[in-house]
Amino acid sequence: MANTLDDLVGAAVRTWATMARTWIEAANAVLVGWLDVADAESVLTGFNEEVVLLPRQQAATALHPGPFTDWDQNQLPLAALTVEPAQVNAGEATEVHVVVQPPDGTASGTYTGSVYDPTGACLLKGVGVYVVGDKPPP
Amino acid sequence: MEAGDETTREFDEEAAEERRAQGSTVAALNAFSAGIASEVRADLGFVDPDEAIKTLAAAVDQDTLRVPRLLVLDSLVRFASRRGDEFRAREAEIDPLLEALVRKSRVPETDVGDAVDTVHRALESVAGLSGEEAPASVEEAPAAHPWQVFVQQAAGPLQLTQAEIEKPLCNDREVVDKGPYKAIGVTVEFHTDASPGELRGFCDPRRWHECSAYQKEMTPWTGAGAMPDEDRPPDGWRRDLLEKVQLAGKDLETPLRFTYSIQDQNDPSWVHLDYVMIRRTGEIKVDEGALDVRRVTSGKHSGRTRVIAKKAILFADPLLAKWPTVACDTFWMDLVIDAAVGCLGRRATIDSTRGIATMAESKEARLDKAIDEAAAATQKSIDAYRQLAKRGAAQLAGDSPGDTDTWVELTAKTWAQAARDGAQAWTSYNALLQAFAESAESKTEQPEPGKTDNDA
Repeated sequence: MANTLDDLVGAAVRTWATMARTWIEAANAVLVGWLDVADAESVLTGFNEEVVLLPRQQAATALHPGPFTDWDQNQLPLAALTVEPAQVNAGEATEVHVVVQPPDGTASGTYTGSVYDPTGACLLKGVGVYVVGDKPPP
Repeated sequence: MEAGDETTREFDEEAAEERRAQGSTVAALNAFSAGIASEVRADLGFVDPDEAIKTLAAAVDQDTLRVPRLLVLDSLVRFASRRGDEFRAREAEIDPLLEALVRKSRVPETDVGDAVDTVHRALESVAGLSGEEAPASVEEAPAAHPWQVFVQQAAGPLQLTQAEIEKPLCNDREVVDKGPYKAIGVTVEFHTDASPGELRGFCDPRRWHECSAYQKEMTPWTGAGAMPDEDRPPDGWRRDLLEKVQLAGKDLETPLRFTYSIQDQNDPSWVHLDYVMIRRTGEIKVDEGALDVRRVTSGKHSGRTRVIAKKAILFADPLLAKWPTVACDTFWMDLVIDAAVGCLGRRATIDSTRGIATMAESKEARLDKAIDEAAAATQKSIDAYRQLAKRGAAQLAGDSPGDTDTWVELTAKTWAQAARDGAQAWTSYNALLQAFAESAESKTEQPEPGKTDNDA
Protein backbone atom coordinates (compact mmCIF):
# COMPACT_ATOMS: atom_id res chain seq x y z
CA MET A 1 0.00 0.00 0.00
CA ALA A 2 2.79 2.37 0.99
CA ASN A 3 4.58 1.60 -2.26
CA THR A 4 1.46 2.34 -4.29
CA LEU A 5 0.95 5.61 -2.43
CA ASP A 6 4.61 6.51 -2.89
CA ASP A 7 4.30 5.79 -6.57
CA LEU A 8 1.18 7.94 -6.82
CA VAL A 9 2.76 10.81 -4.91
CA GLY A 10 5.94 10.46 -6.92
CA ALA A 11 4.04 10.52 -10.18
CA ALA A 12 2.04 13.52 -9.02
CA VAL A 13 5.17 15.39 -7.97
CA ARG A 14 6.92 14.56 -11.21
CA THR A 15 3.89 15.75 -13.17
CA TRP A 16 3.75 18.89 -11.10
CA ALA A 17 7.49 19.45 -11.53
CA THR A 18 7.21 18.99 -15.28
CA MET A 19 4.30 21.39 -15.38
CA ALA A 20 6.14 23.92 -13.23
CA ARG A 21 9.27 23.71 -15.34
CA THR A 22 7.27 24.17 -18.50
CA TRP A 23 5.50 27.13 -16.94
CA ILE A 24 8.75 28.70 -15.87
CA GLU A 25 10.29 28.16 -19.29
CA ALA A 26 7.23 29.66 -20.96
CA ALA A 27 7.22 32.60 -18.56
CA ASN A 28 10.93 33.07 -19.15
CA ALA A 29 10.40 32.98 -22.87
CA VAL A 30 7.78 35.70 -22.56
CA LEU A 31 9.97 37.70 -20.19
CA VAL A 32 13.10 37.32 -22.27
CA GLY A 33 11.16 38.33 -25.34
CA TRP A 34 9.86 41.25 -23.34
CA LEU A 35 13.27 42.42 -22.19
CA ASP A 36 14.99 41.78 -25.50
CA VAL A 37 13.03 44.61 -27.02
CA ALA A 38 13.37 44.96 -30.73
CA ASP A 39 13.40 48.71 -30.98
CA ALA A 40 12.87 48.53 -34.70
CA GLU A 41 9.95 50.80 -35.37
CA SER A 42 8.39 48.83 -38.16
CA VAL A 43 8.46 45.35 -39.62
CA LEU A 44 8.79 46.56 -43.20
CA THR A 45 11.53 44.80 -45.11
CA GLY A 46 12.88 45.95 -48.41
CA PHE A 47 15.41 43.63 -50.00
CA ASN A 48 14.87 40.91 -52.60
CA GLU A 49 11.16 41.25 -52.04
CA GLU A 50 8.36 43.70 -52.75
CA VAL A 51 4.82 43.64 -51.43
CA VAL A 52 2.10 45.03 -53.67
CA LEU A 53 -1.67 45.11 -53.39
CA LEU A 54 -3.45 43.25 -56.16
CA PRO A 55 -6.97 44.58 -56.73
CA ARG A 56 -9.74 42.02 -56.48
CA GLN A 57 -10.13 39.67 -59.41
CA GLN A 58 -13.43 38.41 -60.77
CA ALA A 59 -12.31 34.81 -60.67
CA ALA A 60 -9.62 32.81 -58.92
CA THR A 61 -6.46 33.71 -60.79
CA ALA A 62 -3.00 32.18 -61.00
CA LEU A 63 -0.17 34.73 -60.91
CA HIS A 64 2.97 34.65 -63.06
CA PRO A 65 5.90 37.06 -62.96
CA GLY A 66 7.06 38.52 -66.24
CA PRO A 67 10.60 39.58 -67.11
CA PHE A 68 12.22 41.85 -64.50
CA THR A 69 15.03 44.12 -65.72
CA ASP A 70 17.27 46.81 -64.21
CA TRP A 71 18.44 50.19 -65.54
CA ASP A 72 21.16 48.46 -67.57
CA GLN A 73 18.64 46.00 -69.05
CA ASN A 74 20.06 43.10 -67.08
CA GLN A 75 17.25 40.56 -66.79
CA LEU A 76 16.60 38.23 -63.89
CA PRO A 77 16.00 34.61 -64.87
CA LEU A 78 12.33 33.72 -64.40
CA ALA A 79 13.38 30.86 -62.15
CA ALA A 80 14.70 33.42 -59.68
CA LEU A 81 11.25 34.99 -59.29
CA THR A 82 8.42 33.79 -57.11
CA VAL A 83 4.99 35.30 -56.60
CA GLU A 84 3.29 34.51 -53.32
CA PRO A 85 0.52 33.52 -53.24
CA ALA A 86 0.73 31.80 -56.59
CA GLN A 87 -3.04 32.13 -56.97
CA VAL A 88 -5.54 34.61 -55.58
CA ASN A 89 -9.18 34.03 -54.75
CA ALA A 90 -12.02 35.74 -56.51
CA GLY A 91 -13.45 38.95 -55.13
CA GLU A 92 -10.78 40.00 -52.65
CA ALA A 93 -7.85 42.34 -52.86
CA THR A 94 -4.68 40.46 -51.99
CA GLU A 95 -1.22 41.42 -50.79
CA VAL A 96 1.17 39.83 -53.22
CA HIS A 97 4.85 39.24 -52.49
CA VAL A 98 7.24 39.26 -55.41
CA VAL A 99 10.31 37.46 -54.13
CA VAL A 100 13.70 37.21 -55.82
CA GLN A 101 16.39 34.68 -55.07
CA PRO A 102 19.28 36.24 -56.94
CA PRO A 103 21.55 33.72 -58.63
CA ASP A 104 25.32 34.12 -58.48
CA GLY A 105 26.55 36.90 -60.70
CA THR A 106 23.50 39.13 -60.26
CA ALA A 107 24.13 42.87 -60.27
CA SER A 108 22.58 44.84 -57.42
CA GLY A 109 19.80 47.28 -58.19
CA THR A 110 16.09 47.74 -58.64
CA TYR A 111 14.57 45.33 -61.14
CA THR A 112 11.21 46.29 -62.54
CA GLY A 113 8.62 44.02 -64.10
CA SER A 114 5.00 42.99 -64.10
CA VAL A 115 2.77 40.20 -62.86
CA TYR A 116 0.44 38.46 -65.31
CA ASP A 117 -2.47 36.05 -65.32
CA PRO A 118 -2.25 32.77 -67.31
CA THR A 119 -3.67 34.44 -70.43
CA GLY A 120 -0.87 36.99 -70.44
CA ALA A 121 -3.02 39.87 -69.20
CA CYS A 122 -1.06 42.28 -67.05
CA LEU A 123 -2.39 42.45 -63.48
CA LEU A 124 0.35 44.46 -61.79
CA LYS A 125 2.54 46.81 -63.78
CA GLY A 126 5.84 48.37 -62.78
CA VAL A 127 6.64 46.35 -59.68
CA GLY A 128 10.14 47.28 -58.51
CA VAL A 129 12.22 44.92 -56.39
CA TYR A 130 15.55 45.97 -54.94
CA VAL A 131 17.86 43.00 -55.44
CA VAL A 132 21.13 42.58 -53.57
CA GLY A 133 23.48 40.80 -55.94
CA ASP A 134 27.04 39.65 -55.51
CA LYS A 135 28.38 41.02 -58.79
CA PRO A 136 30.67 44.01 -58.20
CA PRO A 137 29.92 47.19 -60.14
CA PRO A 138 31.70 47.35 -63.51
CA MET B 1 13.43 74.84 -58.00
CA GLU B 2 14.64 71.96 -60.09
CA ALA B 3 17.33 69.51 -59.14
CA GLY B 4 20.70 70.72 -60.28
CA ASP B 5 19.62 74.34 -60.55
CA GLU B 6 22.63 75.75 -58.76
CA THR B 7 22.03 79.38 -59.65
CA THR B 8 18.86 79.74 -57.61
CA ARG B 9 20.09 77.85 -54.61
CA GLU B 10 21.78 79.45 -51.70
CA PHE B 11 23.83 77.30 -49.44
CA ASP B 12 25.13 78.47 -46.12
CA GLU B 13 28.16 76.39 -45.17
CA GLU B 14 28.32 77.94 -41.72
CA ALA B 15 24.74 76.90 -40.98
CA ALA B 16 25.54 73.47 -42.38
CA GLU B 17 28.45 73.13 -39.94
CA GLU B 18 26.14 74.01 -37.05
CA ARG B 19 23.59 71.54 -38.33
CA ARG B 20 26.14 68.75 -38.49
CA ALA B 21 27.34 69.60 -34.98
CA GLN B 22 23.77 69.29 -33.75
CA GLY B 23 23.38 66.07 -35.71
CA SER B 24 26.33 64.67 -33.81
CA THR B 25 24.71 65.82 -30.55
CA VAL B 26 21.54 63.93 -31.42
CA ALA B 27 23.70 60.98 -32.44
CA ALA B 28 25.45 61.09 -29.05
CA LEU B 29 22.13 60.76 -27.26
CA ASN B 30 20.99 57.98 -29.58
CA ALA B 31 24.25 56.09 -29.15
CA PHE B 32 23.76 56.23 -25.39
CA SER B 33 20.15 55.08 -25.61
CA ALA B 34 21.24 52.27 -27.95
CA GLY B 35 23.49 51.00 -25.17
CA ILE B 36 26.77 51.72 -26.93
CA ALA B 37 29.63 51.44 -24.45
CA SER B 38 31.00 54.71 -23.06
CA GLU B 39 34.50 53.99 -24.43
CA VAL B 40 33.09 53.52 -27.93
CA ARG B 41 31.07 56.72 -27.65
CA ALA B 42 34.13 58.58 -26.44
CA ASP B 43 36.22 57.19 -29.31
CA LEU B 44 33.57 58.37 -31.74
CA GLY B 45 33.89 61.85 -30.27
CA PHE B 46 30.42 61.96 -28.72
CA VAL B 47 29.56 64.07 -25.70
CA ASP B 48 27.88 62.40 -22.73
CA PRO B 49 24.06 62.25 -22.76
CA ASP B 50 23.54 64.95 -20.12
CA GLU B 51 25.61 67.40 -22.09
CA ALA B 52 23.83 66.41 -25.30
CA ILE B 53 20.42 67.11 -23.77
CA LYS B 54 21.57 70.46 -22.36
CA THR B 55 23.07 71.47 -25.70
CA LEU B 56 19.86 70.68 -27.54
CA ALA B 57 17.78 72.51 -24.93
CA ALA B 58 19.95 75.60 -25.32
CA ALA B 59 19.68 75.43 -29.11
CA VAL B 60 15.89 75.18 -29.00
CA ASP B 61 15.63 77.90 -26.38
CA GLN B 62 17.90 80.29 -28.29
CA ASP B 63 16.29 79.61 -31.67
CA THR B 64 19.51 78.16 -33.03
CA LEU B 65 18.24 74.64 -33.64
CA ARG B 66 19.31 73.82 -37.21
CA VAL B 67 17.90 70.30 -37.38
CA PRO B 68 14.18 69.47 -37.56
CA ARG B 69 12.68 69.32 -34.09
CA LEU B 70 11.30 65.95 -35.18
CA LEU B 71 14.86 64.64 -35.01
CA VAL B 72 15.08 65.78 -31.38
CA LEU B 73 11.67 64.38 -30.46
CA ASP B 74 12.50 61.11 -32.18
CA SER B 75 15.68 60.93 -30.14
CA LEU B 76 13.80 61.51 -26.88
CA VAL B 77 11.27 58.81 -27.69
CA ARG B 78 14.07 56.39 -28.54
CA PHE B 79 15.72 57.24 -25.23
CA ALA B 80 12.54 56.72 -23.20
CA SER B 81 11.61 53.51 -25.00
CA ARG B 82 15.06 51.96 -24.86
CA ARG B 83 16.32 52.96 -21.43
CA GLY B 84 13.41 53.98 -19.27
CA ASP B 85 15.42 54.02 -16.04
CA GLU B 86 18.16 56.22 -17.47
CA PHE B 87 15.52 58.48 -18.92
CA ARG B 88 13.75 58.86 -15.56
CA ALA B 89 17.06 59.60 -13.87
CA ARG B 90 17.53 62.67 -16.08
CA GLU B 91 14.37 64.61 -15.34
CA ALA B 92 16.44 67.67 -14.36
CA GLU B 93 18.13 67.73 -17.77
CA ILE B 94 15.14 66.68 -19.88
CA ASP B 95 12.46 69.01 -18.53
CA PRO B 96 14.25 72.20 -19.65
CA LEU B 97 14.46 70.69 -23.15
CA LEU B 98 10.76 69.85 -23.07
CA GLU B 99 9.95 73.34 -21.82
CA ALA B 100 11.96 74.89 -24.64
CA LEU B 101 10.19 72.68 -27.19
CA VAL B 102 6.78 73.53 -25.75
CA ARG B 103 7.52 77.28 -25.70
CA LYS B 104 8.59 77.18 -29.35
CA SER B 105 5.29 75.46 -30.13
CA ARG B 106 3.49 78.73 -29.30
CA VAL B 107 1.66 77.36 -26.32
CA PRO B 108 0.12 80.22 -24.30
CA GLU B 109 2.39 81.22 -21.40
CA THR B 110 -0.20 80.21 -18.81
CA ASP B 111 -0.35 76.70 -20.26
CA VAL B 112 3.37 76.02 -20.55
CA GLY B 113 3.67 74.19 -17.22
CA ASP B 114 0.78 71.86 -17.94
CA ALA B 115 2.00 71.26 -21.48
CA VAL B 116 5.48 70.31 -20.27
CA ASP B 117 3.91 67.94 -17.75
CA THR B 118 1.83 66.37 -20.50
CA VAL B 119 4.80 65.86 -22.81
CA HIS B 120 6.80 64.46 -19.90
CA ARG B 121 3.97 62.05 -19.07
CA ALA B 122 3.85 61.03 -22.71
CA LEU B 123 7.52 60.08 -22.55
CA GLU B 124 6.90 58.32 -19.23
CA SER B 125 4.19 56.30 -20.96
CA VAL B 126 6.70 55.37 -23.64
CA ALA B 127 9.22 54.38 -20.97
CA GLY B 128 6.56 52.29 -19.24
CA LEU B 129 5.70 50.50 -22.43
CA SER B 130 9.22 49.28 -23.12
CA GLY B 131 9.02 45.97 -24.80
CA GLU B 132 5.33 45.99 -25.46
CA GLU B 133 5.93 44.47 -28.88
CA ALA B 134 7.36 41.37 -27.34
CA PRO B 135 4.24 39.22 -27.02
CA ALA B 136 3.98 39.05 -30.78
CA SER B 137 2.59 35.56 -30.47
CA VAL B 138 -0.86 36.97 -29.82
CA GLU B 139 -2.12 37.28 -33.34
CA GLU B 140 -3.97 40.28 -34.69
CA ALA B 141 -3.17 42.52 -31.75
CA PRO B 142 -0.13 44.55 -32.75
CA ALA B 143 1.26 46.71 -29.97
CA ALA B 144 1.20 50.46 -30.19
CA HIS B 145 4.57 51.76 -31.30
CA PRO B 146 6.36 54.13 -28.87
CA TRP B 147 6.03 57.00 -31.33
CA GLN B 148 2.29 56.40 -31.61
CA VAL B 149 1.99 56.33 -27.84
CA PHE B 150 3.95 59.56 -27.62
CA VAL B 151 1.97 61.50 -30.21
CA GLN B 152 -1.36 60.41 -28.77
CA GLN B 153 -0.56 62.49 -25.72
CA ALA B 154 1.98 65.06 -26.89
CA ALA B 155 0.54 66.13 -30.26
CA GLY B 156 -1.52 68.91 -28.68
CA PRO B 157 1.04 70.54 -26.37
CA LEU B 158 3.74 70.38 -29.05
CA GLN B 159 1.39 71.40 -31.88
CA LEU B 160 2.73 68.52 -33.95
CA THR B 161 2.12 68.73 -37.67
CA GLN B 162 0.64 65.83 -39.58
CA ALA B 163 4.07 65.16 -41.07
CA GLU B 164 5.50 64.84 -37.57
CA ILE B 165 2.66 62.65 -36.38
CA GLU B 166 3.28 60.36 -39.36
CA LYS B 167 7.01 60.22 -38.66
CA PRO B 168 9.05 57.90 -40.87
CA LEU B 169 9.49 54.51 -39.25
CA CYS B 170 12.76 52.62 -39.47
CA ASN B 171 13.42 48.89 -39.45
CA ASP B 172 17.02 47.70 -39.14
CA ARG B 173 16.39 44.08 -38.20
CA GLU B 174 16.64 42.55 -41.66
CA VAL B 175 19.74 40.54 -42.49
CA VAL B 176 20.84 40.81 -46.12
CA ASP B 177 23.25 38.42 -47.78
CA LYS B 178 25.79 40.19 -49.96
CA GLY B 179 28.35 37.72 -51.28
CA PRO B 180 30.29 36.53 -48.22
CA TYR B 181 28.83 39.24 -45.97
CA LYS B 182 25.77 39.50 -43.78
CA ALA B 183 24.77 43.14 -44.05
CA ILE B 184 22.12 44.98 -42.06
CA GLY B 185 19.03 45.76 -44.11
CA VAL B 186 17.57 49.14 -43.17
CA THR B 187 14.18 50.22 -44.48
CA VAL B 188 12.48 53.52 -43.66
CA GLU B 189 9.00 54.45 -44.84
CA PHE B 190 6.43 57.19 -44.55
CA HIS B 191 3.36 58.45 -46.39
CA THR B 192 2.69 62.07 -47.25
CA ASP B 193 0.25 64.28 -49.09
CA ALA B 194 3.12 65.92 -50.99
CA SER B 195 3.28 64.70 -54.59
CA PRO B 196 6.20 62.64 -55.95
CA GLY B 197 7.23 65.63 -58.05
CA GLU B 198 7.46 67.81 -54.96
CA LEU B 199 9.74 65.28 -53.33
CA ARG B 200 12.09 64.79 -56.27
CA GLY B 201 14.92 66.53 -54.40
CA PHE B 202 14.93 63.68 -51.91
CA CYS B 203 16.05 61.34 -54.69
CA ASP B 204 18.87 63.65 -55.81
CA PRO B 205 21.98 62.94 -53.73
CA ARG B 206 23.58 66.16 -54.97
CA ARG B 207 21.10 68.00 -52.75
CA TRP B 208 21.19 65.94 -49.56
CA HIS B 209 23.74 68.21 -47.89
CA GLU B 210 21.35 71.16 -48.13
CA CYS B 211 19.37 69.86 -45.18
CA SER B 212 21.34 67.00 -43.70
CA ALA B 213 22.69 66.91 -40.18
CA TYR B 214 25.36 64.44 -41.33
CA GLN B 215 26.03 64.79 -45.06
CA LYS B 216 28.56 67.09 -46.65
CA GLU B 217 28.33 68.04 -50.30
CA MET B 218 29.26 65.18 -52.60
CA THR B 219 31.99 65.55 -55.18
CA PRO B 220 32.55 63.61 -58.39
CA TRP B 221 34.38 60.33 -57.85
CA THR B 222 37.30 59.98 -60.24
CA GLY B 223 39.21 57.26 -58.47
CA ALA B 224 39.39 53.53 -59.12
CA GLY B 225 36.35 52.09 -60.83
CA ALA B 226 34.96 55.45 -61.87
CA MET B 227 32.83 55.58 -65.01
CA PRO B 228 31.94 58.60 -67.12
CA ASP B 229 28.71 60.43 -66.29
CA GLU B 230 25.78 59.01 -68.18
CA ASP B 231 22.58 60.81 -69.09
CA ARG B 232 19.61 58.92 -70.34
CA PRO B 233 17.15 61.36 -71.86
CA PRO B 234 14.71 62.62 -71.04
CA ASP B 235 15.21 62.42 -67.31
CA GLY B 236 17.52 59.65 -66.17
CA TRP B 237 21.16 59.96 -65.19
CA ARG B 238 24.01 58.09 -63.54
CA ARG B 239 26.81 59.68 -61.56
CA ASP B 240 29.79 58.38 -59.60
CA LEU B 241 30.05 60.54 -56.49
CA LEU B 242 32.08 60.57 -53.32
CA GLU B 243 29.66 60.67 -50.41
CA LYS B 244 30.95 62.41 -47.28
CA VAL B 245 29.23 61.71 -44.00
CA GLN B 246 30.35 63.37 -40.78
CA LEU B 247 29.54 61.61 -37.54
CA ALA B 248 31.05 63.61 -34.68
CA GLY B 249 34.80 63.05 -34.96
CA LYS B 250 34.54 60.50 -37.74
CA ASP B 251 34.39 61.28 -41.45
CA LEU B 252 33.16 58.54 -43.75
CA GLU B 253 33.98 58.91 -47.43
CA THR B 254 32.37 56.39 -49.74
CA PRO B 255 32.46 56.21 -53.54
CA LEU B 256 28.94 55.46 -54.72
CA ARG B 257 27.30 55.03 -58.10
CA PHE B 258 23.91 56.78 -58.20
CA THR B 259 21.29 56.00 -60.82
CA TYR B 260 18.36 58.44 -60.95
CA SER B 261 15.14 58.01 -62.87
CA ILE B 262 11.85 59.86 -62.96
CA GLN B 263 8.68 58.77 -64.69
CA ASP B 264 7.70 62.22 -65.96
CA GLN B 265 9.52 65.47 -65.30
CA ASN B 266 6.31 67.52 -65.04
CA ASP B 267 4.04 65.42 -62.87
CA PRO B 268 5.79 62.15 -62.10
CA SER B 269 3.96 59.25 -60.53
CA TRP B 270 7.33 58.04 -59.28
CA VAL B 271 10.91 59.16 -58.74
CA HIS B 272 13.61 56.62 -57.99
CA LEU B 273 17.26 56.42 -57.03
CA ASP B 274 19.51 53.37 -56.85
CA TYR B 275 22.99 53.52 -55.35
CA VAL B 276 25.75 51.00 -54.99
CA MET B 277 29.26 51.17 -53.57
CA ILE B 278 31.90 51.29 -56.27
CA ARG B 279 34.66 49.91 -54.08
CA ARG B 280 35.13 48.93 -50.47
CA THR B 281 36.63 51.45 -48.08
CA GLY B 282 38.46 51.04 -44.80
CA GLU B 283 35.24 51.82 -42.93
CA ILE B 284 32.54 50.16 -45.01
CA LYS B 285 32.20 46.73 -46.59
CA VAL B 286 28.66 46.99 -47.95
CA ASP B 287 26.64 50.11 -48.78
CA GLU B 288 23.85 50.03 -51.34
CA GLY B 289 20.13 50.49 -51.68
CA ALA B 290 17.42 52.67 -53.15
CA LEU B 291 15.06 55.55 -52.58
CA ASP B 292 11.58 55.40 -54.03
CA VAL B 293 8.89 58.06 -54.06
CA ARG B 294 5.68 56.78 -55.56
CA ARG B 295 2.02 57.73 -55.80
CA VAL B 296 -0.14 55.09 -54.15
CA THR B 297 -2.96 53.85 -56.35
CA SER B 298 -4.79 51.43 -54.07
CA GLY B 299 -5.36 50.60 -50.43
CA LYS B 300 -5.84 52.92 -47.47
CA HIS B 301 -3.18 55.39 -48.67
CA SER B 302 -4.58 55.62 -52.18
CA GLY B 303 -3.90 59.04 -53.69
CA ARG B 304 -1.08 59.81 -51.26
CA THR B 305 2.65 59.35 -51.80
CA ARG B 306 4.71 56.55 -50.35
CA VAL B 307 8.36 57.31 -49.61
CA ILE B 308 10.71 54.45 -48.93
CA ALA B 309 14.47 54.39 -48.33
CA LYS B 310 16.47 51.16 -48.34
CA LYS B 311 20.05 50.66 -47.28
CA ALA B 312 22.10 47.49 -46.91
CA ILE B 313 25.07 48.45 -44.76
CA LEU B 314 27.98 46.65 -43.16
CA PHE B 315 30.71 48.55 -41.38
CA ALA B 316 34.32 47.46 -41.31
CA ASP B 317 35.09 50.28 -38.88
CA PRO B 318 35.39 48.56 -35.48
CA LEU B 319 33.56 51.34 -33.63
CA LEU B 320 30.59 51.61 -35.98
CA ALA B 321 30.38 47.83 -36.24
CA LYS B 322 29.47 47.88 -32.53
CA TRP B 323 26.45 50.09 -33.23
CA PRO B 324 24.03 48.01 -35.32
CA THR B 325 21.27 50.63 -35.15
CA VAL B 326 23.51 53.49 -36.31
CA ALA B 327 21.72 54.03 -39.63
CA CYS B 328 18.27 54.30 -38.02
CA ASP B 329 19.77 56.39 -35.23
CA THR B 330 21.62 58.88 -37.40
CA PHE B 331 22.23 59.70 -41.06
CA TRP B 332 19.68 57.45 -42.77
CA MET B 333 16.74 58.40 -40.59
CA ASP B 334 17.81 62.04 -40.76
CA LEU B 335 17.69 62.00 -44.55
CA VAL B 336 14.14 60.64 -44.58
CA ILE B 337 12.97 62.97 -41.80
CA ASP B 338 14.28 65.89 -43.87
CA ALA B 339 12.04 64.75 -46.71
CA ALA B 340 9.07 64.19 -44.40
CA VAL B 341 9.12 67.63 -42.78
CA GLY B 342 9.72 69.46 -46.00
CA CYS B 343 13.36 70.37 -46.40
CA LEU B 344 13.79 68.25 -49.51
CA GLY B 345 10.36 68.92 -50.88
CA ARG B 346 7.10 70.65 -50.17
CA ARG B 347 6.22 71.00 -46.53
CA ALA B 348 2.96 69.14 -46.56
CA THR B 349 1.12 70.66 -43.64
CA ILE B 350 2.39 74.19 -43.23
CA ASP B 351 -0.08 77.03 -43.34
CA SER B 352 1.68 79.15 -45.93
CA THR B 353 -0.30 82.27 -45.13
CA ARG B 354 0.97 82.43 -41.58
CA GLY B 355 4.09 80.35 -41.88
CA ILE B 356 3.40 78.26 -38.82
CA ALA B 357 2.77 74.60 -38.43
CA THR B 358 -0.92 73.89 -38.54
CA MET B 359 -2.59 71.47 -36.24
CA ALA B 360 -3.31 68.16 -37.78
CA GLU B 361 -6.83 68.15 -36.44
CA SER B 362 -9.09 70.35 -34.37
CA LYS B 363 -9.28 69.66 -30.64
CA GLU B 364 -12.83 68.33 -31.02
CA ALA B 365 -11.65 66.03 -33.78
CA ARG B 366 -8.82 64.79 -31.58
CA LEU B 367 -11.27 63.99 -28.79
CA ASP B 368 -13.42 62.06 -31.22
CA LYS B 369 -10.35 60.32 -32.56
CA ALA B 370 -9.09 59.46 -29.07
CA ILE B 371 -12.47 57.94 -28.22
CA ASP B 372 -12.50 56.03 -31.50
CA GLU B 373 -8.99 54.75 -30.90
CA ALA B 374 -9.81 53.69 -27.35
CA ALA B 375 -12.88 51.86 -28.65
CA ALA B 376 -10.84 50.26 -31.42
CA ALA B 377 -8.18 49.14 -28.93
CA THR B 378 -10.87 47.61 -26.74
CA GLN B 379 -12.42 45.83 -29.69
CA LYS B 380 -9.00 44.54 -30.71
CA SER B 381 -8.47 43.27 -27.19
CA ILE B 382 -11.86 41.55 -27.16
CA ASP B 383 -11.03 39.95 -30.50
CA ALA B 384 -7.72 38.69 -29.11
CA TYR B 385 -9.45 37.14 -26.09
CA ARG B 386 -12.12 35.66 -28.32
CA GLN B 387 -9.42 34.01 -30.40
CA LEU B 388 -7.77 32.67 -27.27
CA ALA B 389 -11.09 31.44 -25.86
CA LYS B 390 -11.91 29.72 -29.14
CA ARG B 391 -8.58 27.98 -29.13
CA GLY B 392 -9.14 26.96 -25.50
CA ALA B 393 -12.57 25.56 -26.29
CA ALA B 394 -11.20 23.71 -29.31
CA GLN B 395 -8.46 22.29 -27.14
CA LEU B 396 -10.97 21.00 -24.57
CA ALA B 397 -13.10 19.41 -27.25
CA GLY B 398 -10.16 18.04 -29.20
CA ASP B 399 -8.36 14.73 -29.17
CA SER B 400 -5.87 15.66 -26.49
CA PRO B 401 -7.54 18.06 -24.07
CA GLY B 402 -4.78 17.56 -21.50
CA ASP B 403 -1.97 18.68 -23.81
CA THR B 404 0.16 20.69 -21.39
CA ASP B 405 2.19 22.51 -24.00
CA THR B 406 -0.88 23.94 -25.62
CA TRP B 407 -2.37 25.04 -22.31
CA VAL B 408 0.88 26.65 -21.26
CA GLU B 409 1.11 28.45 -24.59
CA LEU B 410 -2.49 29.66 -24.33
CA THR B 411 -2.01 30.80 -20.75
CA ALA B 412 1.18 32.66 -21.58
CA LYS B 413 -0.58 34.38 -24.46
CA THR B 414 -3.44 35.34 -22.18
CA TRP B 415 -1.02 36.83 -19.67
CA ALA B 416 0.76 38.70 -22.38
CA GLN B 417 -2.53 40.02 -23.73
CA ALA B 418 -3.60 41.10 -20.23
CA ALA B 419 -0.33 43.00 -19.76
CA ARG B 420 -0.75 44.62 -23.15
CA ASP B 421 -4.32 45.62 -22.23
CA GLY B 422 -3.14 47.25 -19.04
CA ALA B 423 -0.61 49.34 -20.92
CA GLN B 424 -3.04 50.18 -23.72
CA ALA B 425 -5.76 51.13 -21.22
CA TRP B 426 -3.36 53.52 -19.48
CA THR B 427 -2.36 55.06 -22.80
CA SER B 428 -5.95 55.42 -23.97
CA TYR B 429 -7.00 56.85 -20.61
CA ASN B 430 -4.28 59.50 -20.78
CA ALA B 431 -5.06 60.32 -24.41
CA LEU B 432 -8.75 60.69 -23.60
CA LEU B 433 -8.08 62.92 -20.60
CA GLN B 434 -5.75 65.06 -22.68
CA ALA B 435 -8.18 65.35 -25.57
CA PHE B 436 -11.11 65.99 -23.25
CA ALA B 437 -9.23 68.68 -21.34
CA GLU B 438 -8.28 70.44 -24.56
CA SER B 439 -11.80 70.14 -25.89
CA ALA B 440 -13.24 71.65 -22.70
CA GLU B 441 -10.60 74.37 -22.79
CA SER B 442 -11.42 75.30 -26.37
CA LYS B 443 -15.05 75.78 -25.39
CA THR B 444 -14.32 77.98 -22.39
CA GLU B 445 -11.54 80.10 -23.88
CA GLN B 446 -13.07 81.76 -26.91
CA PRO B 447 -10.79 84.34 -28.56
CA GLU B 448 -11.65 87.97 -28.13
CA PRO B 449 -13.57 89.46 -31.05
CA GLY B 450 -11.24 90.65 -33.76
CA LYS B 451 -8.23 88.91 -32.26
CA THR B 452 -6.46 86.32 -34.39
CA ASP B 453 -3.95 83.61 -33.60
CA ASN B 454 -1.26 85.88 -34.94
CA ASP B 455 -1.91 88.31 -32.14
CA ALA B 456 -0.97 85.78 -29.51
